[in-house]
Amino acid sequence: MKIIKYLFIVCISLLSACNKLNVPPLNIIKDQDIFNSVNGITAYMARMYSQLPIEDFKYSADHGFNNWNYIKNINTYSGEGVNKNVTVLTNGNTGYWADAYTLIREANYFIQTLPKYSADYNNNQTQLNQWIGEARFIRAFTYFALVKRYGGVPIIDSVQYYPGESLNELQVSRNSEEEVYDYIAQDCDSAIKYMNATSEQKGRANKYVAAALKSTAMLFAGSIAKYNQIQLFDNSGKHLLGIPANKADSFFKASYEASLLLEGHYSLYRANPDKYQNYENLFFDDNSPENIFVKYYHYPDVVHSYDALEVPFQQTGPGYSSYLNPTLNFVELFDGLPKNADGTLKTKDANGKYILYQHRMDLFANAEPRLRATVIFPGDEFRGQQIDVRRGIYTGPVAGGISSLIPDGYTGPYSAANLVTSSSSKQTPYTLPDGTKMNPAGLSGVFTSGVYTRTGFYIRKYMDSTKTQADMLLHHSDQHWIVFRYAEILLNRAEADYELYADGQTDVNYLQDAFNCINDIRDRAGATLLADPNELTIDTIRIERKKELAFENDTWWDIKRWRVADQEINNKIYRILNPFYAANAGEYFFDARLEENNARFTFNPIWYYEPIPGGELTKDPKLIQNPGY
Amino acid sequence: MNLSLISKKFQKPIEFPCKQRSFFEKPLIKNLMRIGVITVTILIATPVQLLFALPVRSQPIGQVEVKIGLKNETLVDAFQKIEAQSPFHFMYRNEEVKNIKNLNLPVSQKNVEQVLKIILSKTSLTFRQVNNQILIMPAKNWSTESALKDATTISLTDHILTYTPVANNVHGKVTNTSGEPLAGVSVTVKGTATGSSTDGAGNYLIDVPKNGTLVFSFVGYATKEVPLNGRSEINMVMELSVSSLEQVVVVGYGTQKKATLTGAISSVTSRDILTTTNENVENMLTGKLPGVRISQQSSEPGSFSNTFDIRGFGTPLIIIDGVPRSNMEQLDPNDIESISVLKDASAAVYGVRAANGVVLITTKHGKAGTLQLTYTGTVGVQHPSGLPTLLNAVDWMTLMNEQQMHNPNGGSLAFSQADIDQYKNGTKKSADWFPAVINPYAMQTEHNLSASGGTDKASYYISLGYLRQDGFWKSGDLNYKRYNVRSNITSKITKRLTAQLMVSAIMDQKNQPYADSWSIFKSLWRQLPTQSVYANNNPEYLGNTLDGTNPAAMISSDVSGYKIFNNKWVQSSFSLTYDMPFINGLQAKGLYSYDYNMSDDKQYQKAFNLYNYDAATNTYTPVVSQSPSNLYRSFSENPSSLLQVSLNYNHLFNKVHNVSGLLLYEESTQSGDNFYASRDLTLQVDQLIAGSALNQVGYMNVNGLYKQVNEGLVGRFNYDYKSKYLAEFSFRYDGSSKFPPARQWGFFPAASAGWVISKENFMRNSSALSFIDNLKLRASYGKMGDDAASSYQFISGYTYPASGGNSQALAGGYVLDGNFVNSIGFTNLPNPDITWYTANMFDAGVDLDMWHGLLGVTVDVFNRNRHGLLATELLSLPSTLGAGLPQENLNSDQTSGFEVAISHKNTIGKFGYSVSGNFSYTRTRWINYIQSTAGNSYQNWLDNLNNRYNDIWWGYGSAGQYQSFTNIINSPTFVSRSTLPGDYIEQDWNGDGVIDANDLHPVAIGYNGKVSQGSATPNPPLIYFGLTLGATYKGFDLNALFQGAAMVWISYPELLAQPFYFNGGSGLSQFTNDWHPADPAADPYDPNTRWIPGYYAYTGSVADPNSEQSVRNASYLRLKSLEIGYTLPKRLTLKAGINSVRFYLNGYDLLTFTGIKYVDPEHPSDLYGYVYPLNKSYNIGLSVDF
Repeated sequence: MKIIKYLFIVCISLLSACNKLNVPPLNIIKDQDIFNSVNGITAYMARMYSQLPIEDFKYSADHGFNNWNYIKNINTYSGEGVNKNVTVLTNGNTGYWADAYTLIREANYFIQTLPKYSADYNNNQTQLNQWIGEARFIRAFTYFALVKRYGGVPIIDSVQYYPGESLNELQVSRNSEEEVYDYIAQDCDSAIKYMNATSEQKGRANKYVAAALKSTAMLFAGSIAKYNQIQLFDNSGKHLLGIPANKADSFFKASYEASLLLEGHYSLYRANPDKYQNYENLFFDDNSPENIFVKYYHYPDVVHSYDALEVPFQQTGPGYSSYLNPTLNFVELFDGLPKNADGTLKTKDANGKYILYQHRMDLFANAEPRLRATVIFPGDEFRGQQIDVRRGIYTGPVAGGISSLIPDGYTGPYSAANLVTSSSSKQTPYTLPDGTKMNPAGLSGVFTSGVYTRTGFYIRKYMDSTKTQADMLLHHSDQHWIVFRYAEILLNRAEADYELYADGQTDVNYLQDAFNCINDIRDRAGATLLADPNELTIDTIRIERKKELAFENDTWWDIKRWRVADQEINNKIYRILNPFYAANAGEYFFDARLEENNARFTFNPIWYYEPIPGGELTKDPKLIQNPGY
Repeated sequence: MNLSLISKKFQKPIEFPCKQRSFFEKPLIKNLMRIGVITVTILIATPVQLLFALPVRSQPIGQVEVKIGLKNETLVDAFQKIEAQSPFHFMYRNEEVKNIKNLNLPVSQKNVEQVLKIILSKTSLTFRQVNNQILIMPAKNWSTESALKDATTISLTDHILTYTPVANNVHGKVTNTSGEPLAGVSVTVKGTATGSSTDGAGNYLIDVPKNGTLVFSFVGYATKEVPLNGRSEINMVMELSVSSLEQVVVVGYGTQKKATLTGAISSVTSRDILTTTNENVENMLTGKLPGVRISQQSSEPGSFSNTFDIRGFGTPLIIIDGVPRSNMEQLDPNDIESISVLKDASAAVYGVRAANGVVLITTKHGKAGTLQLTYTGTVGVQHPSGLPTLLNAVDWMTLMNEQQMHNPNGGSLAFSQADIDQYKNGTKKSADWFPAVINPYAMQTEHNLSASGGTDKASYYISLGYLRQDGFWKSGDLNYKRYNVRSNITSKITKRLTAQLMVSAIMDQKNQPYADSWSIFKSLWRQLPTQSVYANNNPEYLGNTLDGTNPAAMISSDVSGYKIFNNKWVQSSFSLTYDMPFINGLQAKGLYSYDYNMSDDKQYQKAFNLYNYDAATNTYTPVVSQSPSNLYRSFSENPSSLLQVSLNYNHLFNKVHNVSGLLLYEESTQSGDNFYASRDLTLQVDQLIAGSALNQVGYMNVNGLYKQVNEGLVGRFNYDYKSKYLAEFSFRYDGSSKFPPARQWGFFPAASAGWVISKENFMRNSSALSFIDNLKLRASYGKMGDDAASSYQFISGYTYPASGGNSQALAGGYVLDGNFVNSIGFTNLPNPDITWYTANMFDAGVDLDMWHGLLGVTVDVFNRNRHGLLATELLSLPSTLGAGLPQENLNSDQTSGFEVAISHKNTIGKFGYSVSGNFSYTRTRWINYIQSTAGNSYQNWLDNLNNRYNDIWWGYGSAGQYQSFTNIINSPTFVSRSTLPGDYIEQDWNGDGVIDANDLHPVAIGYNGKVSQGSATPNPPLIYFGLTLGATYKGFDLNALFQGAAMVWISYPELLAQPFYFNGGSGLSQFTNDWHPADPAADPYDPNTRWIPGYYAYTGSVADPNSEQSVRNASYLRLKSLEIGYTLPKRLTLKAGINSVRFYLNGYDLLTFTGIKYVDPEHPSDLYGYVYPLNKSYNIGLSVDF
């Protein structure tokens, strides 16, 4: 009976102990634990910066932000480069929408909540302003990412609650494109006003970063006002797409003024007297005075795969390589190359026979240093090796010159006659007349199947030449990405200058200012300087921008905001350069031709605005889709 | 061998098989026996003692005199008195002597033989001397007359023998249908407490009134009743039970007789489970339990990847020995006594976790009186089931050429005819990657040694198990090892108090090379036949390949490192059961259980070189892979405890009202903690110590840090009237810590009723219906819950560091001042109302048994309605809100289906056979599914999931393939300029002349909503069926299990859908069967090109994965297992002191009939089809009972 008694006592005591179920969560942190300390604020900031829509080594046209897969990056869309996987253009829309509003909410929440904790910081307004300014910069940056894709989007400037607010309140309609840019300008102005001149930590914003954003965003807005043809109004007459043309100058002016703020605080990088080396180093020197806003990586916590994906084939780590092949069209933008009258690369003599070179690099002997620092030429040196690019060995007669292997404009395959090529890197050597053995194709291609350069060129910009072949692995790169550098600000300024000048604005000598900016850039690049401001046209400025900011994910947006993409990319096959070794001459010749893949690209004009993701339209019936979708 | 031995040293007889007395006299052993703890030592020592027992010289019993008297004493008392004065010991069966009492004998001196003749004179017993032992046994051809005569001749006039005679002695022998004696069969007199049981030779002896009826019963056999009709010898042949109505079934928190069950409960016992040999208990159940749906997805050692559910309900709650435990896969199948599956409201006693049904696993216990030492072992080989073959060099080059020619802008050949000819004429040799990576055979073996036994005071079951399974990698570096130890001990402390201690320890280890299996297959399938495993075919240099992987390197731990996954489980429970005095049938029980599970993993990523060979310079250039070397260790632990107190009541009133009740309180706590660390290695030593502090990581899995508590009060009330009208009501008041305080508790009632029509007089009295043994109608309805919702969604806050961060994608932090700074993560908006979802379960069934087991049928229909399924309004709230929404209890669905189980069992002479089949069908539809409204009504119809099956696969219909250019030109729908003969024609479903998203329509079943294949695991098949055939003939037995599934479709992704899925990589050989121009160099776009038709389209044309061209019916029927056994005749084995010896051959997945080619039909198309294959296995087994 004793046992029964005990059992009952146990039973009853257990039943009465009901609140056993109130187990506090072991892994959830509350508001005050974040907002009451600098470390908590830093963690909050780290969250917002990590979500910032930065189009870097992890942004591609098919995967959007923060994806290692950089293969379909927007530099292969803009005509700067191609690769074997990009054979057709799309609108490049990755549905960046929900993530943007998540970040905007987090910034709004920060702006609203921080003042409640000001006592924890002894009401130090400088400190509090700096943080609020950062949140505003982040919000502006995010709205810019939205507006350049979709035009006018809903502006959410305070935290919404659910449950709490009705579905009707949560369903918001689009603001006008102009309102969004004005909102960005307002946030930037506030950030510029309240933030310090130096960042609290390297990698975070300061007042000049906000100014750089404003410079870029306002230039974009000015271009839309001036060049956009697509108009969309909602029922209330709100101008969702397009900005009245008469607003162009005020935006260009805002851009110009924002650019001017940075003057004296940043300058072009000129650390190395060798212009080629200097330009290559620019992207790696962490102390560069040109860097305004930089996104840092750190192995193994946060990494990208740029080196592994783009490395020349012969230096492949296990796996990927060769996914960014600069086009000959891009190379032909530069000075210092033999050119035909139409501006194309000269590879044949007056008789139509190929010009022979002892070394492949002889063709590029006088190329602009900036070009060589941007692309790897066939036979060029990279990472201590000669990057061996050869399409094949020409075994035919050389006496009297070698005639064109294919007719001009031909897109078909080479005839097999007099050519030895290789289908892959597993090559069968060809015995040259002098008895030595030579692989038909170079170590880095060009092969007839598989992965290799499709154009004869490899990318050099941002490639980490200090890494070894063993590091050519996915998720092993951690070089930083420069979001804003001073060269871009100068180019923004030159473009705004020229647009204001062209529109007849005379309050400043805009043409002279543009001339100074462009020559500053050209000088650093080792390019030919302009002699006179009147040599400037809008095209010289745009081409300068394409050259300077190439492969920095800018050109795709530039040709879109200039509304020239549909003309530039219209049933377009890009040009490539195939080096051949003439066995009987012991010398190289180059065949410049249309790409052998035969990929034809066309830009559909409706793509100037991306479609709002379909799901968003059904969830919010007040949203109006962009035309054409 | 089931004789009892009595020793004067023991106060009470201890039931134990006949062994050497000397052994039991050891004081240590005696003490151990008393406290009910038996150690392994004894069990091992026992047979050894037996084997070495030597004959002892002894005196004849006629020469030894004793002086004894008896006064109303028992026969046993008499034996003890004789033992006290003589060197002899008695051996007898307790059952046979215990009723012989009230013996009187005046004190006198006689020899032992005389005494025995007197006191046994009126019994059916006789005696025989064996050395110093006197065996008491039933007399052969015994008759009252002859015994009396003998007695008279011996009896001495000066002694008065008084003996209370029993009514009528009946004896006989019980055998099974093969004529083998059955030991331990219970023989009782109907309506009385009188009972006996058979001995090792199947003989029994019992006192029965002349008009009495004998009842023979034995687990697993049909109970037989025989009226005596004056006979004194009744031999009985027991037949395996078919209806198994007498079977006792384990139900939630107790057991019930199958005859009075009102719920839908299926169960199997160890015998049925063990007919299949596999590394995973789940696979041993496939096809055996109606409504239990099992698909095996991989046989990768240690992966145990199965889908396992009950009636399509989702992951069931697994209860092992009364405690929720998740390690069903790691159990040693030999330890399992039975598995019960609660498929309907009978699971409601598990409350908030019961909605998906409950699996109850009971492990073995010792039984009083039987010491059994059993060894079971198998050794077998596995063979991969369904692996595709790879393209050879010529085929690869041919298809590559096709791919490159397949360009409407003008194509070119990648390989010249001369290139191809080199492989055709043998100048070059195609690389054979397959045998370099995969062994066609791998070993597996399993051994179990168990000992069980006991007395009426204490019993034990202890076992030791070992399993090893090897993988198919050539390197042998993929394998799995498991060790199981179990000790289940029950001890009766006092007459009313019973204690039970159950302890189980499991240790397992999976070893694999650093690369996961799917990545090795992916690599293998991509390798070019023109590049060799070794650079320049020099085995010192592993070749670098096009994709930079070399599967021959990946499979080798020596080359590329390894992963080791260690798990250890210790599971224990202790319970006390107390039979309450004063109230007959009331029992109190308390149970405490503590389980501890830990995993300890190690991953060694080893840097290694692959080599490029340059023939022009004859150089090997290394390419470093997996650099830098890295070592990763992780540790996690999951302790859990459970406390149960209960009152159980069971009583039969007035012989007709059977009442039982249960009241139980349960409280359980589960928690988890973990951490991990990794370092890049400076030295090539696979330990953390060899790493550098730079880039080291020390962190934890935030989701693995938790604590959760459940509390519940359970009640159940059963009533039956004459076992004819049955009713049950149960409830559980259940609480879960996963929910906000106001939402923690729920009430889950269930009720069920049954009507045994066959017990009604109109049926019993009808001769026309006499073939019906049992007809029962039953129905159940109950409410259950499912608390699988993620925890703490009612609290808002932050996670730190942000969860879900990925260094390769969106990192959970940012680099500031050169250091990685962890960021916070935002939790979803809180939902203060979140709670479990509820399931209302209905089941109705019929059980029918006819012709004494010749036919048994069970049919069940069921329906489960779930409400409050979790969904987020995210689907309908604008994203501009900008916050993750909490889950809410919004959706509802309905799962319904039916099951049929049929069994037939018969014996013809010595040939016995059985057939049992089952069939189940289940399908789920959404009743309410939260979603946004689409822009137009067509889209709304398309997207709608409300009131629609949850597995409708949307795709394009097929209109065949273009046969010619004429065909293409005359196409009624728009075709692109790249179209070629052989290309797939999609059906213009809406007839508008354009193939677009508007032509999507349901083409198959398999994916939830409109999720496309490849991105999710398909639903399991809707129909499952199984057919078990069993037969015995003399010592032979055969068991065959056919199992299959239907109404299932798959579509294969990536390399299974097309060759060269990856840049220039190779592919599978089936694609050579394609449409292609007769002249490989001909322009395929030239209308004059002559085409050779094939199964697939021209290389480069790929069917839409969601079209009828890709979607294939994956129904299958397979011979899941086949076992042929032979038991050596008893007369042979008994001579060797062995109870039984059985050899068997067992095969698993031997034959498969399916329309699916190149892969196994159970093989899923998720993980892009690279999942490690299933295995066929061939095993040889031995089972010995000592």
